[in-house]
Amino acid sequence: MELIFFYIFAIFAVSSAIAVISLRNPVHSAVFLMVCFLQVAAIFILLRSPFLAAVQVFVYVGAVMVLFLFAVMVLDLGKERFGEHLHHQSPIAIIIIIGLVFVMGLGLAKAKLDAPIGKYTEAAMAKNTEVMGELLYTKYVFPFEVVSLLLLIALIGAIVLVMKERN
Amino acid sequence: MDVNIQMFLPEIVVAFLAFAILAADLLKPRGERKSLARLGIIGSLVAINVLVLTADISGTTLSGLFIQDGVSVFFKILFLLTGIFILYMAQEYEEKIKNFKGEFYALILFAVLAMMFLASSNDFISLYVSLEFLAVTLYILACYTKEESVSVEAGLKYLITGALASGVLLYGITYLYGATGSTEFSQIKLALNGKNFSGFLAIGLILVVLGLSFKIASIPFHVWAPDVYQGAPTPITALLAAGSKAAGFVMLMRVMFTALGSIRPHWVLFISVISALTLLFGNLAAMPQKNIKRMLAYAGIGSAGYLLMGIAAGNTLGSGAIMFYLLTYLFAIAGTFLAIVIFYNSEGSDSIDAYTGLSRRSPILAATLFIGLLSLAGVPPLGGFIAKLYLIAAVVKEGLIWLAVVGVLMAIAAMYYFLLVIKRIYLWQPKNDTPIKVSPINKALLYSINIATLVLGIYPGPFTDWVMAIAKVLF
Repeated sequence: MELIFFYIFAIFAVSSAIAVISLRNPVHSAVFLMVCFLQVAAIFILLRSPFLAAVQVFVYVGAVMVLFLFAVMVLDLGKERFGEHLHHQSPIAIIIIIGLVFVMGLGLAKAKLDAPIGKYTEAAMAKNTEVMGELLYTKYVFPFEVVSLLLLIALIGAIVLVMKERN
Repeated sequence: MDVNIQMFLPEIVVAFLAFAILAADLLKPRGERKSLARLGIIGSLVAINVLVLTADISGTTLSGLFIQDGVSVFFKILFLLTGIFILYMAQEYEEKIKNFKGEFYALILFAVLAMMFLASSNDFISLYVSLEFLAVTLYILACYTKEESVSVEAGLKYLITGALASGVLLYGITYLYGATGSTEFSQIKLALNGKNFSGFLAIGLILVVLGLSFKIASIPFHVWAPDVYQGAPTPITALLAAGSKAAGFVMLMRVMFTALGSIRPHWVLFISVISALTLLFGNLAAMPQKNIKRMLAYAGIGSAGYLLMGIAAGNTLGSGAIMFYLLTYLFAIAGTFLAIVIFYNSEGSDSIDAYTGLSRRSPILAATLFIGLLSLAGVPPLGGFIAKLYLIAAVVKEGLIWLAVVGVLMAIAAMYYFLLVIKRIYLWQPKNDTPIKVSPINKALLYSINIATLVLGIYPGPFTDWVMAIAKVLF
């Protein structure tokens, strides 16, 4: 049962991701990206990680994509056609991608996953958000602090690059 | 959770320094911002002192995600020195950036901080996060002269290739996690004990190496280097060349030697082929270049090839040689780029044509370029020669004779194109022979950098002993 749902979500996620990069209109691409993110959120739920699923929906689908759509519409990029900037590279790209998928499929077909699965039992995962929060502030406090610096730098960078000096 | 604050005291100093510069920039009236760079240089010197005083406290802290050992101390000193040179170059270059904003100096320090985090990363999660921190800082710095279209192009190209490479790296990390059940390097090493080499490991390994190849500008993620090196402000080009490359190699050393060292027979050919291709491409493509920053970009790709020889060797000699090479590379890059900045400030050009007859106009600039470029090429008795010698010795020791042959041949190629520039500087007549003014401080700095390069070449003993001793902790 779970597997069937996984395949449904996976197929939708991959096909909407392909739609994102192959559609010519940026607004359509952005909408398909939202579809893709929603499918990934659904897969997180299948993996017993409701917190990540919620974050995926709130942050990516809610905040980032809506902001992105606003930017696309305000700047009127809808009229811009991406196709004009491509220099007939798509056939080569398709061949390379198919080759890559084939090689990786071959590697995966030979492999079997024998590493121990995470230490969290089904019961512990019921308190998913608590577990995540505790890990973030204890074990992973170093990456957490680095991410906070990263966000600060991104903020400063955006201001520095956009701000105009008043004369 | 264990927290040993002494292990990351230097990082705290640098972080405070960067914030202090941000605040001081706000408080200062409009006008030039050179004093902020001086504050940064003094602070970095303090950080080096703190680092040296706390160097004997080694081990892991912050739940094993942060490691302090000989290698991380060496690289942190290297990064802080790079930061000092870059800050000095940046304050020389300040007038050339239109609408200059003081955040430039703070961002350089944040980049140094990110590189220091990378040197201490003991886990794929802290490695990835620090890598992104460094990358975002460098994206901003690369397009800082946003009035010029080349700089914006540089920033965009860097951003797009960087995002792709970081996606590839992250995808590879998930495979390694799937195969070993851990993201911590020492745990991965334990998990690999007595395990068969599986497809999961192979894919993870290949993707991680490809992802990291972006930072060191080796094949296949090398395409950004020439455009970004040419378009970025010159001090940032030097930061990319000396700092970002060293940061890439400290990551590669930890991942390949500490985490994946036990499966070396499976990756040695892969790394050797990348190394050889990078050597060939970088050195052959550097020959026809007309712009000195672009030529140094291709030469930098070639250097990544040499350094990868040390990774392919996978022994103490190889990893010690990588560290020694990066040390000589820092001084060669610092001297060359400081000369390029001074020349650009006077002439407003980076094209190799403009350097014609430089020896008659400014002997000190000409001598610096002579020593810096020949050290990059690996001519005795300069530091670069000893470094290349050790790298070639390391691969020969492991029986990779063909790779050593490629390395030697490409050293000759590098000598050829650098000597073309030197011939132009020394033997040709200048078009106008007005002398180029070099301030006394600049002169003193150029002299000391040149002496450092010479000392590393003539009397390398103490330095090589040091790096060989600390290289042991990786295995």
